[in-house]
Amino acid sequence: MDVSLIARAAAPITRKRGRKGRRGNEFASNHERDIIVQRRGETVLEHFRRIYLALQPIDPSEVMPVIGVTSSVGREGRSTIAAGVAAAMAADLEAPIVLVEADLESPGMHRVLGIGEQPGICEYLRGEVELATVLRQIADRFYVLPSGDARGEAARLARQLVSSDLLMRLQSSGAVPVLDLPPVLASSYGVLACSMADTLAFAVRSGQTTTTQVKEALARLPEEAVRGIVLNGAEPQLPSWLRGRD
Amino acid sequence: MRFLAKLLKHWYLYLIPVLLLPAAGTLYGKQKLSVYETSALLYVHASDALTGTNTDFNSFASPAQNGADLMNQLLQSTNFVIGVAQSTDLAKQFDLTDRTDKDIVASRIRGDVVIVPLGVGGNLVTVTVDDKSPTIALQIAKALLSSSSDSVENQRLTQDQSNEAFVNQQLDQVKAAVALDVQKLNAYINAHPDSGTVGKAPDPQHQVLLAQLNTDSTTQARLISQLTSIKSDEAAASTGHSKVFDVLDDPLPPLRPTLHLKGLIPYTGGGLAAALALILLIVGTRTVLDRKVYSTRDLRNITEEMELDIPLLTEIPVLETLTRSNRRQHDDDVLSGVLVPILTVLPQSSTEVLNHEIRGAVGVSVMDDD
Repeated sequence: MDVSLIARAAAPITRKRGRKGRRGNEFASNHERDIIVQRRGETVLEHFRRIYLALQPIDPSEVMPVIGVTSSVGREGRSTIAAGVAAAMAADLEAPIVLVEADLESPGMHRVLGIGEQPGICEYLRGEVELATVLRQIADRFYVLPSGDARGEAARLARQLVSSDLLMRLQSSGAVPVLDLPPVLASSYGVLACSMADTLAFAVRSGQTTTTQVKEALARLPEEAVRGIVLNGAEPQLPSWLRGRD
Repeated sequence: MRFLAKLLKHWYLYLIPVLLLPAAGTLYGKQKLSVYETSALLYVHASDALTGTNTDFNSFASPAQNGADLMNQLLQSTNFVIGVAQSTDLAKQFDLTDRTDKDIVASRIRGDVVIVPLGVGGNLVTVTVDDKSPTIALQIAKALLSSSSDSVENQRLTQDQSNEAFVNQQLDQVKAAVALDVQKLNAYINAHPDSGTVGKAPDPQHQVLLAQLNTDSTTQARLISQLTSIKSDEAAASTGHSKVFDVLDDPLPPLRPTLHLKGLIPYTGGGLAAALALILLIVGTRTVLDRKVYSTRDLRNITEEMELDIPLLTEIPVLETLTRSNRRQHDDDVLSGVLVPILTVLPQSSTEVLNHEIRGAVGVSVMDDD
């Protein structure tokens, strides 16, 4: 995406603000905000791009592994990171990317992406709907499989999901699944669900997750599966006036 | 650095103890240091009592200096101070027969009273009494003036009585000497009738006896005069007419408390020091007890400790959401809201080709879906 094109579009707005006074100001302000957001979108996408690039095989001819994003406890930004990684992959790769919400117990993808919660994987696993019904397209080459309503059967459905051929079906279609996995410590089937991913990105929320939780979660996961850690919500600990110029 | 970060993160909260504790210290100090002050102005007489008969006094100093010294010396006497306390409400509050209470009361009165000679004139002395209680301050001031006067008069009386006895003893001896001198002279004149006669050559022995009689008589006259003076002074002292000082301005009941601002500095400073110590304690405790992960360094420490070779993929900063309402809606997810612009960055397909492909791959015909 060419951000500079959007930036160039901002120039006339600045002139308009000078001529039209207050109304022009508001108009320009809104547009400028959008531009900043677009720029920020591109910048944030770069963070997620780094994640999948670090997890993909060195040899481009190799099959893209199933990337999973997990964490030690909840509210660490797993869903967002998984969605961001999927979005970055969708932007860069030719293959369709399917974001699979494997956290059946406490799904959050519908909030993150603003899509309907049901039907989802749970309904599919119970045989209530077809897979295609639950597959939502968000953008070009970017699809989402929401978790649906587990109705208190999250652990059983998770086991069923692990043993199902869902991922295989997606991969056989040429799609690359990205898994939004449940937390390792907070979910009873967290470690089990992680076994679906070929490679794991471990999310740690700055200022929230304790070292004990991180250690315990990493100890439960297979060492070779965890390929990297993502520090989410990192903030400079000192104010800018004390850090000097960044 | 984590300590500093924790300190600066909620620095505005730490302003509360920084403002409150010094203020509390100041208020406490104000309450503790506020005293009621009363003072009296004395005119000290340049009498013999201070400069003459009493050799303890400095005859080169002013009466005011001598008077102030006298009163300050009296204050050093516990008996005198307790005597002052007997005339005040302190006698009701404390058991003045108890040694500990005596010390407390004496210390309090000594701390309350300031006696200084004024630079004006040379006869003026101010007596200032500070106390937490306005009543006691006034009582101490009045009792101090009264007791000082009484004490000086008693001292003078005692001194006079002692001097009188001494002078009487001397006078008796001199009287005996004079009587002896007269007796000797008469005996000599009887034995030598011509001696001392006019026109005759002077008799040396007669002259000697006469001179001795004159000398003893003079001494006797001087002692009688001195005794008369002592008796006069003694009579004045015993009747209360011999005043060392006059009270020009009586001590008045204090109307409002007096506060010395300099005295507040330790209390305000103490409050500030306590606030800083409290902040250091809180921040220090929070730093020590905080086991959360904040930085890549913390993550590196974890992996090194666990001997894991897991790299840090990226560090995603906190980004503001699109709007405030968005932020509220997705409060549980720090990056919620930024995904919306990300998705707008993604190219939106103008065709349904890929959609059809993947839907077809998962087993649904495009026609069915449509």
